[in-house]
Amino acid sequence: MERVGKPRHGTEGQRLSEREVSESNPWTYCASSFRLSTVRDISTSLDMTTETREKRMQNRPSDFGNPWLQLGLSVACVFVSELLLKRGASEVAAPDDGFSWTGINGLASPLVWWAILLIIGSFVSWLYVLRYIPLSLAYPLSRVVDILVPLGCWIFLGELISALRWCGIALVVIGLALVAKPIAKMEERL
Amino acid sequence: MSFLAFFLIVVSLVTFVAAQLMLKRAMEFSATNGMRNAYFVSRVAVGVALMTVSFFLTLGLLQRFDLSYLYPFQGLSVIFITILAAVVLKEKLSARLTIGALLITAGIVLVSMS
Repeated sequence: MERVGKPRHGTEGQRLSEREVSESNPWTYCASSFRLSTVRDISTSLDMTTETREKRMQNRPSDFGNPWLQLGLSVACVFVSELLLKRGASEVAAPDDGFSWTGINGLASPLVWWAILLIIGSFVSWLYVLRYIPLSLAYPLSRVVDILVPLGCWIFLGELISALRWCGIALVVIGLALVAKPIAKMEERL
Repeated sequence: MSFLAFFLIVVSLVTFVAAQLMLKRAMEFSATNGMRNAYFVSRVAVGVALMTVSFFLTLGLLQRFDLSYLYPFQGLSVIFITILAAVVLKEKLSARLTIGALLITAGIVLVSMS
């Protein structure tokens, strides 16, 4: 497994000077490395083959740039932000005001602003994840939030979880296990 | 639940799914062509705009319903996104992945019904 900061794209990456490489984080590194490469046909990049996708997943950076870590980070941010949003929205709730359907009056609560910050953080991580992991894998996995949120509501907001709701949570866990297992195997191979 | 509430839930769902597909496309494009081009910037801008619409609609709905009731509607997006990723983005879809996505959706719907 290759590390962040080292050229990851063969001859194209090697054209970067040492200084450029050391200064850049995975984000800007990827961007600059690809800018140096010759501009390829737009149509080929839009119609990516499974092969190029798999190759990119294998070339992914480790450590903080690891897309799986970023996926976890993104999920954690979303989880906390959802709880904050509910707290914040309840604080300023004005159901009689027709304008409040837009939700914009929620901005009066500081909790909502914290939630927005977390959402922006999760969004950046998520974009990074999208770069390496197919959407049809990453998105179902990111729905682990759907277990965390009801559990968080139960623990932190005092909302009740009925028997049927527990069954639903169990189904999500099974579904997640099905989606995640081939990935665990693939990671072992790398 | 009023018709308006249902309509707003659907709109927030559709905008969210469209945003995800748009963003995935933009990020894949940026991997080969960099980020300083009109295609990437415009796709990300539209994706962010759609997610913002979805966000504020959700915020408005949250003022009226329990989070644990309302939130799982977004779970329907799992199956939509998985299918559309295969159709629009031509991602490989295994039987296992499809069943997993279906179970996740079923579980989320069950949570929202209870």
